[in-house]
Amino acid sequence: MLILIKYGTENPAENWKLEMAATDDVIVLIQNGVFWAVTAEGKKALAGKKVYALKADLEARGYAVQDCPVEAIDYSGLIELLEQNEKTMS
Amino acid sequence: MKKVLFVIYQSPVGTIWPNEGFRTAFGMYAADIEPDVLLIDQGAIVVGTETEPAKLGLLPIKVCQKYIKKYETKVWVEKESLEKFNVRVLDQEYNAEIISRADVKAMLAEYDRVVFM
Repeated sequence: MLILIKYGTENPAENWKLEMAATDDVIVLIQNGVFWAVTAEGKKALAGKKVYALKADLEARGYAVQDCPVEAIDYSGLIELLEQNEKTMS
Repeated sequence: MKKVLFVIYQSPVGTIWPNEGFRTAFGMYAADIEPDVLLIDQGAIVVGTETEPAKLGLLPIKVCQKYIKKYETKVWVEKESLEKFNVRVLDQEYNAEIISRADVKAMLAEYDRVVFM
């Protein structure tokens, strides 16, 4: 399952989604969801999970890709992940 | 037939999302989609007997009950959320089934789409 995270660490739904994530799920951080990759509490919640962050949303918020601890992808990469995962949580 | 789970996590008082969640779920019957609804976090107060935003002149929530009954929509409510928000008496008209967070995790794989509202 592909899980889209679009709100920051204060959002109860995003916390719930990450708690529900199975080990083989793919997590993509978009919009303010990229804050999970750059904050201490966010990094803790993402530990051990397969996570990507949308490059455009990182850069728009002033974060350099090289400073991001998870793999950054562009929109084409996001579409590839969507095609690879029939099931989604958003 | 695709299975979709609508997860309602916001309060029915002050937000329209619980109403929208149910409304969207009911709309799925027009397509070849089977919708279920899961209430978590503040959304869990929907099923409280005394919960009614109309008390404040806001959009009524209990209006959803007749459609839940009509379409036989499956409604789940998370046990931990009921406890967190101290919801003790459930309005039986929602016909909601209580489910633990651990059981929700196991159940999610059954759905093609899980949509938070």
